[in-house]
Amino acid sequence: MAILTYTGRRLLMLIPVLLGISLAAFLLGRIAPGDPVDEALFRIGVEFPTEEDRAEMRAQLGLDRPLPAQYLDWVGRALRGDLGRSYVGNRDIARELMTRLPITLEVSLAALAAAVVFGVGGGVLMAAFHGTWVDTVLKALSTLLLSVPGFWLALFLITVFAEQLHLLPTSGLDRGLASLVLPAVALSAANVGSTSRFTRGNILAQLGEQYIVAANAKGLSQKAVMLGHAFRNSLVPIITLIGNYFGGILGGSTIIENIFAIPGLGSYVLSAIQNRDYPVIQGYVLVTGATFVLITLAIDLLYLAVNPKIRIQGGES
Amino acid sequence: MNKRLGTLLLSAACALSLALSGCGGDAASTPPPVSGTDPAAAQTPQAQPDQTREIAFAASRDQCPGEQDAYYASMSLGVWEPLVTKNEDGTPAPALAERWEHNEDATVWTFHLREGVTFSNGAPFDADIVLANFERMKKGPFDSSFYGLNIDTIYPGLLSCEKTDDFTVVLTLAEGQPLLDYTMVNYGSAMFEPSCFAGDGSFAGFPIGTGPYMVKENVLGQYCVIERNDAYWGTPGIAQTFRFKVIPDTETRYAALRAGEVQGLCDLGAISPAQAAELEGDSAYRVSVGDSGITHFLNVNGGAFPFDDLRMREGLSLLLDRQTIIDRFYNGYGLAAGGFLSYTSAFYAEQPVRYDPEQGAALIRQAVGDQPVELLFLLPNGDVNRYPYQEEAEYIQALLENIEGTNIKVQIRLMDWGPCKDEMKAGNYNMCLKIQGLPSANPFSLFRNFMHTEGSTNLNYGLGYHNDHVDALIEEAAVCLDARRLGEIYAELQAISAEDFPNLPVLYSQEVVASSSAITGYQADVYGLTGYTQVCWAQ
Repeated sequence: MAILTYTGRRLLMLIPVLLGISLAAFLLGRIAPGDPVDEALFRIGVEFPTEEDRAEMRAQLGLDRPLPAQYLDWVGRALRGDLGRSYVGNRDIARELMTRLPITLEVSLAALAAAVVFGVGGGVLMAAFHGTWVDTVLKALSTLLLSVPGFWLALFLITVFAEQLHLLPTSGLDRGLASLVLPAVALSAANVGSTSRFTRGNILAQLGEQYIVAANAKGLSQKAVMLGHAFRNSLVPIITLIGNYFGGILGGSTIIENIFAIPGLGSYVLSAIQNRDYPVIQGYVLVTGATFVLITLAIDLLYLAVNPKIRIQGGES
Repeated sequence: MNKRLGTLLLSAACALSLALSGCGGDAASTPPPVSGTDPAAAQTPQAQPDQTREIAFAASRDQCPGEQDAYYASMSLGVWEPLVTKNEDGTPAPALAERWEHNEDATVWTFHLREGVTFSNGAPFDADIVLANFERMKKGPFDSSFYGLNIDTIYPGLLSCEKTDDFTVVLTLAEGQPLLDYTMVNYGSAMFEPSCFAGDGSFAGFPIGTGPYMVKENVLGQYCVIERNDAYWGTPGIAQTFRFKVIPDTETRYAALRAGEVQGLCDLGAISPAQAAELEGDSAYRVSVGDSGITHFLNVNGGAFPFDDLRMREGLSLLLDRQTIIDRFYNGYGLAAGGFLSYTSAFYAEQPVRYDPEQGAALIRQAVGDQPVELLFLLPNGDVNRYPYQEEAEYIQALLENIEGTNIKVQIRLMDWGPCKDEMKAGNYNMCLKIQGLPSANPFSLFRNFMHTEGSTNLNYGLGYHNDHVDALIEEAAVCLDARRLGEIYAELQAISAEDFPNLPVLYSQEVVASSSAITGYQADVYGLTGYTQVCWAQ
């Protein structure tokens, strides 16, 4: 019951958060420099607009109305699932975002999975082989992954694995799982580096605790001590860290999607930013913001599963 | 133990890589076995290879932007055809209209349509089709990633569109338009079978045109597939199927070509000059250079010191070694520009390209003396990503800062185009590199907007250009009904621009495309009517 109350309270808290996101999304679009009117005119064949042309288009796009009226109108329609039509291309934004969201989520989840498997796995390996050459090599590798910019790594991976070795495709999504490998690696590299170092540190800290001495004294195997005790108790901060990465991965996918020609949310918003396509930018911030908030909620609920203290206190901890 | 672990990890990584590489098929790299005969291919000497295999191209944007685009597909795909196209010299040429004439005051234009033309769905092309297309145009303007379709700018003052027989259409205009056929070139007179239009004038499904290819598949943002129209009224294409992938990043597009995933790179900015230079020495690839309507301008703030002084503008123009800029920064892909209008325009009048650094420096010394001068050089981010503007700007910066006897400092600032334009309009800049294309085969709007005192670009770019004689010439051109006199006016405006410098033309761009030697017949020909009909497998 306590868990249900906790979950309900967290869901209620989403309302002001989402309203805040919607306001930020709206204002970001409006305070960004540049004017979408010229681009909209250019695309209908008016390359050299007069002030009258601009005024007419501004009215047509609804940009001549006061900001609060524009915001309320937008929020009202967004609540009904209508995010309007893009200035460029006149497409239904909600439909476009919903088509692209699964693609971005697929890439982001693949990157997150890589961060979890290689980051946590690498961290456990480093802790298990603490002080040996394995630890030294993996530490150096994780530092390297942390230092290399994602876009550079993406181009490097394309050159090696696609252009030279012909093992993986350069771009697109038409080769199934193989298409996801390079984007996921490029997107997760820095997170793999930081997760592995964080996991290593956490496990080593746990290994110095008294309950580990007790477990060893009981005659448990090294594997059981490491995985059953030290690793499990270091999981909560690791889950928090990985949860926070998801926001970074969603944002980072903008550049990676562009490089790998992935038709997800990132490449869509990049083109919208270039064209000052406000409604698309607003829709993107709203959708990704809501997605991130929901993922954070899911991670909070995951704590309940892994941390008995939180479970006992019904999430009050 | 440790050694074994390392070996295991390495083996696992390799195995995973190999397993994943086999997860999907690649039509281009694993072509289907040779089978069947190809009627078009059988007639051509290049046809021995199996032309039913799909040829893949990559471009930075959708070649089929879809139902909401005014044309659905790029003209170069050969899905649709216009009434009027253009010759190599930029003058209007027959396409679906065989010939045309107009009355003395150019208010009534009569178009005689080509007979025996059918659409890809078998419907005949005739005057009723043209009328239906004009009815559709009236529902616009329509948005496009190529050229916006706006009946008011293409057919200004159109009063009526009527047929006098099944293959003759008459357009009546409120005011004379002696260069109407120039504005109708290509995108200005695209023809579609009306059943493919939705009620609001957009497309309801794939477009149906009279061209040599048909759209078979389209996934927005990913790829589109076109297939040969075997019932084409003209010379059919050779290859049966083309796939056009969307790869926005230049480096990735280049890698896709090198990896053999695509056989060619197409559309604007297909390949960077540096990449093209790299491929030119490799027999596995072909680089083709073609004409482009784009001119690179150095826009200057003529409304403020020091560029309000003609000596400063002329001095800087004389100081620029345009050929060095082209050779060093554009790998030789470009032509030195002396005049305002692109060399691809039918109204182009060649202007001398003058390079005299000593005279240039002397003029600038006269204009600014030894007083400290700080110049702000703006570079739009989007253009910096596409062109070597940073290097070009640094070269110009070095030229200006090293003029003996002057004290000029140049600050280069990168900005998004939106705020950059705001700064230019407010006059808060001195120089800005920017491209300008040819929006229409009729250059009137270019002259009016850049060179007239009240021209929108003159005002919005803060050029501050004013010349009473130029204003008079442009106002005369606006009402002139004599095409020959218009040609004279445009030539005079170009001559004036080369002496008065409303802005400084630097170079005329050239289109550079690349293809693998596995295919042949691919030439840089932006929006040309032949499109991909000559492109086929070479091996």
